[in-house]
Amino acid sequence: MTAIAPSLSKILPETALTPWDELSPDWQQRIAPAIAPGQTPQYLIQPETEEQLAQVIRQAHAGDRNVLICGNGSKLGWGDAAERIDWVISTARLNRLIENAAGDLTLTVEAGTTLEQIQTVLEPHNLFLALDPAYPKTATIGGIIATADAGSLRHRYGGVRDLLLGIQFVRADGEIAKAGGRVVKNVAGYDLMKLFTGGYGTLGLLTQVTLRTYPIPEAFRTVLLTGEKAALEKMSLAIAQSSLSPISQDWLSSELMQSTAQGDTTALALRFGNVEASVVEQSEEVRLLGQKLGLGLSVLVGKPEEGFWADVSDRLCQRTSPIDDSETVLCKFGVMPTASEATVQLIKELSSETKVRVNGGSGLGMLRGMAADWDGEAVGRLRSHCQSHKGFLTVLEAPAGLKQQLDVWGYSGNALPVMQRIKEQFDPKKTLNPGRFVVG
Amino acid sequence: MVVAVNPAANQAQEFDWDAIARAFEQALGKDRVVRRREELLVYECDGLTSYRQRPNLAVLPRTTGEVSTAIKLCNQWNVPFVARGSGTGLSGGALPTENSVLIVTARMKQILDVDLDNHRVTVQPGVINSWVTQAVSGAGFYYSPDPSSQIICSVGGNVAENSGGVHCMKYGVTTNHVLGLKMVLPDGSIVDVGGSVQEMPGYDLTGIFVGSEGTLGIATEITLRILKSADTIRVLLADFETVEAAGAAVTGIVGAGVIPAAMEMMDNMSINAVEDVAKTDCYPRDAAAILLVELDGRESEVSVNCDRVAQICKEHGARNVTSASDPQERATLWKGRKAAFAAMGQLSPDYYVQDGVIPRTQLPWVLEEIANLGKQHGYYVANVFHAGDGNLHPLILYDNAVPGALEKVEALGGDILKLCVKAGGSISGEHGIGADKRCYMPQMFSEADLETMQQVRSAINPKGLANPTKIFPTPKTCGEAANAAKSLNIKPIDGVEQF
Repeated sequence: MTAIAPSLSKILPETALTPWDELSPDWQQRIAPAIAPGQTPQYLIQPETEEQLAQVIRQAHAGDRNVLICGNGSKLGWGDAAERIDWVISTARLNRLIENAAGDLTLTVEAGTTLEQIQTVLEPHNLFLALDPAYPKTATIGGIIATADAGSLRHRYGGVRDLLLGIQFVRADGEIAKAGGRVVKNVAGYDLMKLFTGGYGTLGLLTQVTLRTYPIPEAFRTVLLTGEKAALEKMSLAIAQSSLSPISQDWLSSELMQSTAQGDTTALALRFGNVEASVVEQSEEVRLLGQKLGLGLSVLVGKPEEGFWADVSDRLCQRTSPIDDSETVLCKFGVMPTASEATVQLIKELSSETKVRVNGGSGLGMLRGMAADWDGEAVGRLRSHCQSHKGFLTVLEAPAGLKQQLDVWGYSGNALPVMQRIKEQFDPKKTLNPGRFVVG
Repeated sequence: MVVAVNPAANQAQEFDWDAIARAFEQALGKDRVVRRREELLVYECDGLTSYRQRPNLAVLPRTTGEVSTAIKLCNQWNVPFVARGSGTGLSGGALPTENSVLIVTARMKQILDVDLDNHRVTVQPGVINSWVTQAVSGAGFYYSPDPSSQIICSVGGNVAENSGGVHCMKYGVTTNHVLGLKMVLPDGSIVDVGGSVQEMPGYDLTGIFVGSEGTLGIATEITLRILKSADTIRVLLADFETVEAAGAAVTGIVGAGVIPAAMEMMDNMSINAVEDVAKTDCYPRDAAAILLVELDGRESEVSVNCDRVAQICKEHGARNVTSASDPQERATLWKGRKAAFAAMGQLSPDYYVQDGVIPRTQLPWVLEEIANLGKQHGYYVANVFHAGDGNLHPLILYDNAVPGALEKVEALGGDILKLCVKAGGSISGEHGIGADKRCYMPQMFSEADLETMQQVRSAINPKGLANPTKIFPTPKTCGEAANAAKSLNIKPIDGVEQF
């Protein structure tokens, strides 16, 4: 440990290098779930420039050091615990705005910029980044990309992969490279953006990213539909067959609805974002359709509307039980869209206390439940349900004991060897996030 | 510069083509194999006809298993293979390489599954782009990516090239609509990537395969996302006295929060060419530029946005703004734009289409610079432009019968690409790199960038048999253009020679 410090201190300002023992309890807590139990890293390193970061990685590579990568550490609990981590490297101080090309609808920022900072930059231009991921206040864009974490807005704007236009990154050997560009349409070279999206930092450290931005819709309106299961499913199909264009279309479980104080039964939530006349007209059409099917209906506008969606996201992010501080689990799953409602039902049967959101267009969802309810057997049952509907289930956050019993990722396909060959090419020494991801 | 991994293509190897052909016939049946020279002629180029190379053998498989068998035979004989769909690509992606087997997916034409409730369709790669829409339009759906060759181009080719079209601005390109693929890898093994549900755990291999131009294997089943057709479609035509004004109107429209389904611009030369040839009487000949804006969605949305767009165009000096909702009237407004390329063909013995991208706000000075480059090189350049996403298609008019003309035109095309990069853009928006633009890759990407991309190729195509020499520059293909004298900086790969 003492042998390394002088070389690191040569390339880093003092403030960028913190020994584990001197780290704030808050940082230690964030890092702990990402590291195999009983192990502690030597340092948290927070480089201030891309070049410093590259030099640190070069040293790690040359000295066979393993590194754990993060931004602000909001999602370090996701994935498997890493093995034998020497250094934790955070990109949080790489947080400069490079270019807000408002007229071109593109934004280039350093990877440690938080989503909140990004939205603050864009808002005066009446633009936004169409992502509503977990931990929106602390999450950095680099972390959001590495975990491919998109929320309800994916219904209209797509996932993270659909918004990422270009990347610059430090490779496992410390070289700086890039792919893509700063324009919305570009087919030059391999689309490495796709590999880095959801790659959990195993192929390189993002330093700069270019994203597609969108105009903030002029008006919003949310319609919440509740009622008989069969009627709700009919409604969902009718919407899928219609030209209605909600920006979000989510199934929300009764427990999640209850926590937002907007009801206590499973709801189909439709959010319209468009010109005023259109959100009014579309909500009215939904109201008439709902009435025909005998569904209960409430309409949200203005501050309560905005607050509702923030609440949905906050409740899913809540890591401990508000009552007794007991531990929780967070899972991401996918099913065929038509199986969305059945999945909400099954989760309810397995644990009535679980909060669930499923996007009706993509069939991708998240659940937050009590760890006591989600043992290996319950996870296994839900996972086989998802797989029988052509999907998957990944355990993101869970007590270490549960994670050790399980295959956290739940990849059931036949392309694992291809993924491993890519990892082997990009990071042959397994320097970056060893043991964290599907590829080991 | 970085060297492409093309061992098989670069080794001075002797192939026993009679024996190879017999092996393919034995494994796949005679009706799957084309070996007569005259029959192979049709395969010697794709849509980029200035490059030609006859394949030594073409095979026409019908199933994933047959594609796998063919590729395994290529491995056995250590012979490169090139995939081809309908052969409409414009960058030479399907151009056979020397001593290669061409694997043609044109007989893989089945639509395997239509799932309207889940908005998914699964097809074989030889299915024509527009058939997908035809299969689902009765139920009110469509497949969004619409390259101009959509009535003949194959979905497999679209996947390989990550094709675009005029409606990408709002709905995205091919990669945004492909959910999963069954792939035969360059070693003949079969994998399923992605699926019917997005964001499976693990690397997004679907995302890396789409747009890899046949260098990472051949897709044999493709699952696509389909969209609900819009209720209302309205097209506006506005004409401007200056290109700057038209460009400012585009920025104004986007700035007002309107995302049109399509936004196309044509310059004065293109306008006159189509009026000479197609005689639409739609586009005023004295306009410096016309703008076509297509809005789609619910009537409640389209009518508001339509008024806004018209207003913005007028504020930016549009002389006239016409709009049409009726399909026939819309077609009239679009007619000139759709006839643009054909019109060039009548104005001039030959024309060369370039494909570059710029940030759309850079348009006015880039167009001026393109005109200057044209003057310097002594050629007229007409501009047709996907203004919404900044994708330029400069058309250079020339006469191929004049000795050396093509080389000069290619040089001008290259200068235009360099200009696009200088403006912060890209050397290709939708046609791909293929054989045509590989020498310009170093304009946009550093050695480290290209080396990193090559790592993907080394992982999936380690022997280099799949579509060798494409995308990446090699000293053999672009010695001078890419400054081959620069250092060779690539990690050695076992059994692979370096050049």
